[in-house]
Amino acid sequence: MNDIDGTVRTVVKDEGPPPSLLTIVLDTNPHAWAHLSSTLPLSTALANILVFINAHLASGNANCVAVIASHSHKACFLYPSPTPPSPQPHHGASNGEVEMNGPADRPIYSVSDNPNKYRPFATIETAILNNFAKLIDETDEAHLSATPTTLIGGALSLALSFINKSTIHHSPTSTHADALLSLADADGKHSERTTLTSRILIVSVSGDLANQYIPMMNSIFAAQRKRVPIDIIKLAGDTVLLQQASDATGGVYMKPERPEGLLQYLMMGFLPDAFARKTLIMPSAGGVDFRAACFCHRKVVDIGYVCSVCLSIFCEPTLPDNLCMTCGSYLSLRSAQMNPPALIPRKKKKKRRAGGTDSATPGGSTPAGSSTPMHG
Amino acid sequence: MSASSSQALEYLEQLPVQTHRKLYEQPSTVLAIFRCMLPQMAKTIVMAMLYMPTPFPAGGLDAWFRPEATKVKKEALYILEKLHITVLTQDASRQSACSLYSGFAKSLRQALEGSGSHRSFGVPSNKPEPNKVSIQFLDEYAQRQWENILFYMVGSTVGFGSSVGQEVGKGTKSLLEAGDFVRMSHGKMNITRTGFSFVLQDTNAQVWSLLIEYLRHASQLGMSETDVLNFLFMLGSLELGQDYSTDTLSPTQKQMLEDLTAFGIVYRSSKTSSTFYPTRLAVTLTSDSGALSTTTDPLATGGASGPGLRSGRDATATGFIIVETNYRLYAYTSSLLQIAVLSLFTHLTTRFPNLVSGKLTRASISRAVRTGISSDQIISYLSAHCHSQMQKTTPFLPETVTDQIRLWEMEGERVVTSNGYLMKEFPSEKEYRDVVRYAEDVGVLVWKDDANRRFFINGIEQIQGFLKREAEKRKQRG
Amino acid sequence: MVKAVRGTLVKCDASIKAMLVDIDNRNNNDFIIEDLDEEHLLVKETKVATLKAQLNQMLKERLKDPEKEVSDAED
Repeated sequence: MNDIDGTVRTVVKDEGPPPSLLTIVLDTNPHAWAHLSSTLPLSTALANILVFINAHLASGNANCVAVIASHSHKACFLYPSPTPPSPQPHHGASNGEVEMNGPADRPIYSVSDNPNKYRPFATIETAILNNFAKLIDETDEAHLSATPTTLIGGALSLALSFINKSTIHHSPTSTHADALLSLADADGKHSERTTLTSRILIVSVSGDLANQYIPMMNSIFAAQRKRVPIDIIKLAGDTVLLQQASDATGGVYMKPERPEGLLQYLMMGFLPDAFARKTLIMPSAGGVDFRAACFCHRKVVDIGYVCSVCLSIFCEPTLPDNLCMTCGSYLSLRSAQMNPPALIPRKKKKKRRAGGTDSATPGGSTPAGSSTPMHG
Repeated sequence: MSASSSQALEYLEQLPVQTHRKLYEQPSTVLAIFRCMLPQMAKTIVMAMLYMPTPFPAGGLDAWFRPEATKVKKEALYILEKLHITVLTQDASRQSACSLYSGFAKSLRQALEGSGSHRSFGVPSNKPEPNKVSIQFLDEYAQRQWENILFYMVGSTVGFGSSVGQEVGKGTKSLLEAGDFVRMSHGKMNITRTGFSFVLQDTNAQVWSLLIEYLRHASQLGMSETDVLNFLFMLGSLELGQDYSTDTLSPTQKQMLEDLTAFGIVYRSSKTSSTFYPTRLAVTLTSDSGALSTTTDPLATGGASGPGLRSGRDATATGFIIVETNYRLYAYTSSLLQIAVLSLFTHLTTRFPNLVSGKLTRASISRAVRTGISSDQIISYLSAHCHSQMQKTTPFLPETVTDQIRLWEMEGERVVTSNGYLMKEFPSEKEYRDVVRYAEDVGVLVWKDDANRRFFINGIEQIQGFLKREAEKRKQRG
Repeated sequence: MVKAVRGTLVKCDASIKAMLVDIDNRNNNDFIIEDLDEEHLLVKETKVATLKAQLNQMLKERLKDPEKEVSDAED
């Protein structure tokens, strides 16, 4: 009967899993989608993603979602709708999407009073479709011809900053800010104290993202630090970078053989959140290509030159003025190439020093055999 | 799955398969069941199978789960099976496979896609309403109605006189009695053990308890159970502040509206009005009782701002209790209901305009325990309502106090009981061990005695099924 | 063949169990179905409430409450 001990008196634990935030980075690169249009047109993909979002929201009552479009000339939020700076100081961004559609010149889709649709789903869908249509409208030919690729790096940073903001809103240690304090104390339940589990899902269609190596890598490391898994569903093209992203952050990497089955891939492989993944065996990229892209021509290289100060990678030794392009320190790669790794002369130097100064140092660690004749 | 919806789940589980099938015709019901009844892993399994063209082979399902998570998987599959959501089939090569019940899958797809023409998510009234009511009004209305009910239950027990409960309708009163929340004895109404646990729950759980009682009652009144359930689940998916038309409702559901108005779950401007407003009590039926649904999550409330019912109700009360290590208790409240609830287990001594103070004593706690309140209920009530200053420490309540409350309870309760079945006389050690392991996996094992090959379980259906399957297997083999 | 016996499992410490057995003996063995081990008894489901009431009665008679005076004085 005396089973009172430390274990029983813990705080009432929350029964459910913590709320999870899904941030989808949708690669809307028009060039790449044009290639895919025969198997999976963008509209179908978007419809599938909307169903997936609904499934995610249905999976947990406190689950939230953010959608970011990584377009050819800019990266922007599709949901929550970007709010113009307003007097509303807190987290109202996601609340405002209905009004947002109002002042737009023509509300393309409106939250209809559709009795066949669960209202929260309808609200989000409408916001996404509206913002998406706006984005497509704003894209003109100049934007299209400017680049064949997409601004994935920017989109990823947007996603990370959004996740960070949401996490702060959910975290219990928000005692410094008044607004946040009242938010945390608004309810007596403990559930808001469980922090948010976030993840990023990149729906990628563009190949060749090497020109964004640096921003991507920075984002990946930030995600790694924040323990945000980056999931990749690669519908077309192949990039080393994204594979590395999912590998480094512990996310899922999938390259469906049949893109038209997108929804099933999403539902099975990407719906489980970090909490559920503890009990599941998730697919991951088999062999990850760890090659890096050079900083000068954004080419993926096997062997390159590395700045000794800032570790920037270059594919060829001809640097302007022999200065590192990233940090500006003097870097004469040409000389490194001219002089073949001259081991023998250096060895000799070492030998002399070793023998002359201190014979008791572990001289044996230097190439063996050669030091003994000196003593003898 | 939240604690509040688990009672609804229990109720659902015991329904027969026909009722389930009938329920699953309604997309809003399916979505609500999916959203708040199923545990996380069950949701994951359902979603994985939802758009799968072929049944999910059992082997594949096993391979999908990590080996150490078998228990979670079994629990999830068990619930799905019990609710008749999944169907186990065997193909020609005797490989068993799992698939979703087609009606469920169809409705869930419709709910996610927003397709079909089932109109199950409520038909908003298009008529311009001259005297449209505000969300704030609805909140106040719901709060008033609900607190009246609670106060009716608690008030007379703690001796606030006979004046309480005049605002509560007759139907509600008889429902409370039928559910054994209160009991009339010698012309005086007394709250029961179930009633206590009812009062100490959070609002959402209270609403569900009352509604489940209502459901049990409903079939006696000749109302169709599925109709009632469908309506309740639909209410949970409506939007606060929007008026909905009553035209598409069935006669049963129209009849329900009146009762629900009495509970404060819906609001109608008059009994003959052709529209109704769901209140916050209704729209949070299928969302977590957790904080996010009312404050930070714009989805659950459909973008409605303003204080939630909880925060509305606790406007004075959000974290209003301070408990010190010397068992003294201070509560910043002037609400009679809260004072009444506190006085159930506290020795209250002083009352100021905005504060009551008192002490948790051995006498007050054992009095509460005698009337049927458990220490866990007291502790969870205190920690759910403790002041923001106290929430800075973990756990919120001083450990000396929580331990002492438990010890006081145990002085009165010297025995722990659990109902169930004793399984014994296993022919072989192996069979015994298999069954015990299964019982442990599904979480029904209470006690076991390996030496004498017997154990005690608190649920027999699964074990029966398991034994039957084992017997069949043996037959096939032998 | 495996047998399932419906009932209520009562978990208590040895001293309480002795009292329960005593109550059972005095009531024509109407309560206990099976004596499982030192700390467990299988009791008829319908009789649990009565058994508990009798136990409390017995405890009240036999045990003096050492804290009572103290806590009263403290208040």
